[in-house]
Amino acid sequence: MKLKGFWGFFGRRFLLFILVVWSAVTINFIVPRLAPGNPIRQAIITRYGLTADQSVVNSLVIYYEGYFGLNDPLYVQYFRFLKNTFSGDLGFSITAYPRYVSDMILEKILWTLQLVLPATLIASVIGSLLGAIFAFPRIPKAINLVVPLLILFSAIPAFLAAIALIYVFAYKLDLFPLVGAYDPTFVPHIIPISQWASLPNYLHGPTFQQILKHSILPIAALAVVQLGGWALGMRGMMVTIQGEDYMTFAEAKGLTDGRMFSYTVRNALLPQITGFGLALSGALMGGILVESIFGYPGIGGLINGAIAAKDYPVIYANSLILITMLAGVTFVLDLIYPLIDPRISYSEK
Amino acid sequence: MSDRNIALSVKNLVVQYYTDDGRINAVNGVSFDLMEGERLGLVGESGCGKSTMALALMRMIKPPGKILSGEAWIQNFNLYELNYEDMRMARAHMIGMIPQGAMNSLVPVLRIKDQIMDTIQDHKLGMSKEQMLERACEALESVGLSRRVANMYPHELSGGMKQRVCAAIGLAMKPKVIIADEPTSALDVITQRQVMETIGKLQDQTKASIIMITHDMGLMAQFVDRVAVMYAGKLAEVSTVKDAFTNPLHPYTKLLISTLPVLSRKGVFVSIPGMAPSFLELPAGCPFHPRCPSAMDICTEKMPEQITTSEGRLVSCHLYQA
Amino acid sequence: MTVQTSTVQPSTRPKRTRLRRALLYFKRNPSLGIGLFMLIALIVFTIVGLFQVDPLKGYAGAVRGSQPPSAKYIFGTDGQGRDLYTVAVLGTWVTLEIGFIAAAVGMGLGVFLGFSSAYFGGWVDNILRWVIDVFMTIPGFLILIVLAALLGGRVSTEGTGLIIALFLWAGPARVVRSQVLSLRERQFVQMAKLNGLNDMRIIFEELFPNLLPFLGAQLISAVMGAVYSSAGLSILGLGNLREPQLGTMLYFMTTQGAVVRGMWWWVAVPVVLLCWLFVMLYLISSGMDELANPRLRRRQ
Repeated sequence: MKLKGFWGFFGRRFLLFILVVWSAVTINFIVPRLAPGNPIRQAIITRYGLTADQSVVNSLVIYYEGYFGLNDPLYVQYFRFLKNTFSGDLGFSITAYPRYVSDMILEKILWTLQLVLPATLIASVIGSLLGAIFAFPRIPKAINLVVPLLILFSAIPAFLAAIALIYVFAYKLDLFPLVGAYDPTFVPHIIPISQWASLPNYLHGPTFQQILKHSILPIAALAVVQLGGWALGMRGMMVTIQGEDYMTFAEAKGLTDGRMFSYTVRNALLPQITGFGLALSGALMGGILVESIFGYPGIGGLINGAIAAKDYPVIYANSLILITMLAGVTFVLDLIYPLIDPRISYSEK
Repeated sequence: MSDRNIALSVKNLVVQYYTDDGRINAVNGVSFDLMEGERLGLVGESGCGKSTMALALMRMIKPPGKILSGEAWIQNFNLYELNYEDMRMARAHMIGMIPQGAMNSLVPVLRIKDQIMDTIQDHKLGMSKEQMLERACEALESVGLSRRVANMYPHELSGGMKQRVCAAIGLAMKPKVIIADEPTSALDVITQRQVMETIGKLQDQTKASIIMITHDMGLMAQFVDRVAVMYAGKLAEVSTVKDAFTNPLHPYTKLLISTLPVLSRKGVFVSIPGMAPSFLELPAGCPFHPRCPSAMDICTEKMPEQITTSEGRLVSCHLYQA
Repeated sequence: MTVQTSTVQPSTRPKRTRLRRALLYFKRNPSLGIGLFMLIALIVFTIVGLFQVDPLKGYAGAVRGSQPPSAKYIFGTDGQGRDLYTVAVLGTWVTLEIGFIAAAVGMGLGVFLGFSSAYFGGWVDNILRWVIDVFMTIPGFLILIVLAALLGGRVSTEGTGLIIALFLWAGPARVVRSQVLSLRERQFVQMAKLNGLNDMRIIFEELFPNLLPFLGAQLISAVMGAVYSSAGLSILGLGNLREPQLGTMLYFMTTQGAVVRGMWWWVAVPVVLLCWLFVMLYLISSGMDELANPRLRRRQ
């Protein structure tokens, strides 16, 4: 009964996921070809300098154009591009040639997730909790004074919060470091993914302490601006639930206030899950900017550096990977949500 | 009927709502007695205050509404004088409710057994988990459902099953007084009948009294002992079913009865002229006088008192004032 | 015999009462009241400022750099020799201008496509719904980064607005679509159809006025999204780095270490003004939402 219409639902969501990724790939194919100038010539000139022998440069350009297949008809290039992209080959970085951009991005993305995921988790838990408390029966009216403050925070973008936090807590009060993910003189012990089983051993080490100390402010900036959205969303949902027929009946059943509250929370909490994909997406965008402000070595730092160095493949691949990742998260959340919430079934609309 | 004891005695109940445009008395001075084991039907047009009265009897009126005055006695307790905790315990135990179950009256994220067991647990009967589960299953069986239903979620049940579950929950604590608020309104006719029979059977077993709110005069005629007709927050008339249908006293009751379809007048719908008045602009005197075919001069000036006739019927109309 | 509802004609009431009614409404909808108040304050600030500032002082090197606030430079000057008071007066509106261009173009596109989707239904609706869904799922900001990086710092204010508009239309389109669908089922549209009005007339005469407050709220929140995007691009160094915009201030402020140099005024001017804009737009937008949706009002 529950799975009725599952395959139709799955098909539609999967098609949407594919369409999103395909659109992103296609944009990444078209945009560089709209660019003025010859990117290969520029890359070669940047590498060998303007004084390099023109004939050598020219032959290099011709060699690399052939190597990258830029002389083929556009549709051949397009299908090759699609094939390469879907097999995970996103090309080379210009500044760090011959490094694959996908390698560079995967290396940096852990730093970003290390900020974005805790921030979103913390904000969703504390925010939902706050929202629930606002709707607790016979709560002191004074707590409503917090609401305007939360509205204020939810209107402000994370990068502004980041600047304010740096100024107050890092510069004025000197409680936290100003920039980076670790002290400049510190050599972090980064564990390769293959050895992550040993991760707990490092949780007490100096690397962990360094990272923690440097993460607190960016995480706080990303979390504080989300808090209001979670809290107000939860409060709204609580109020809606309290007006439902089943809550009237629950009261008529003579349930205690505590039990009624737990009924309300259980019904209001599940829809909050649907907000998670969107919140993560927002936090990731905010995270890119917050990283620029903190000089943090994640995706944001990578993009920032790539923009300064005009390393376009890195910029393109970044957006492609992040779009795919977020579309994937949305896809998975959409699929599992009806399993968690008995009110929703797959046979929608 | 006087040989039976009074189960619920309501005296001069007034419920007031505060709106942007002023205060309204959605229930405006209602008094009646409900006998033990009696079935009382409460009828009236939409917005006449029926549902407000149901909530008021459960003491569940929420701001901007307020129970302004009145008493509701069950045994030796006036519900409106109980403290918060005692009133909570009284709900389901002394005065229970059967809601419109086909709609949205069951908590969607909880299994049926939990919804019943929570009720039992919050009334501190000192039962073990197994005993409570057993009691929940018994309650389901008593309304003709299988024990398997206990492990199901509401969305897995049909409309009729949901209504039965609601009845099972409402009756699980064996309340002295049951308020059934249009318990069958969204069900098909066959299911309606089955559900009503189940409720009636259970009520007979527990000797509870029932107040049934409904639009359905036909259902009413078959099921209840007495009919209370409500108009603009007041009781127009309270009579036995037989009296109300064969010899209605209040002009409003007469009109209500005359609107019922009769086979001999097939195809002709009769309606009461005029519209139900807005609570914000109640006419002076008797609220029914603008629509009343027998209105007199006094009706526009003075609100009629509620009187008890020699047959024990209640009526509020100047035609019958001494 | 119907009970007549006696409504007082508004026109017979003195004007002061209407003002008082408006004030009473703001009391019930404080978001709108405070938001509009912030807008008025900003307008007053700008008008007063326009009499005092010389627009040329908003460019780098125009005045002595790194001066703290004083009688001469009341907001101080930045590290590159811009008068921050001039930037505050002019840059705030340049920032809003980008927002409004982007929001107006994006909204126009969104409203048109949303209307078309809902009104014509069929395959038009099917295709547009997929396109809307795709655009809603793609975080537009990531594509904006790609486009802006490609164009380098050569984008004008209007150009930035137009690029941002490309990713602003999907939200409004989806909302307008669902609103039109629900409005179409309402009685007055059904009545208009029965009265033989044709499709386009129904759209413009019956549906549009009903959607207006709603579109207003959407427009303002689109402005907010556009201001966010333009400030975000600026931080990455992808904005117009010459014009005295607030985002540009943020870029130079962070890249040139205003914080570590303790130049609090350089930090405060763009941050406070941007916060002001965001809070103002948010309040107006949610206030208009409340105005547009009476059910929300009843709940509270």
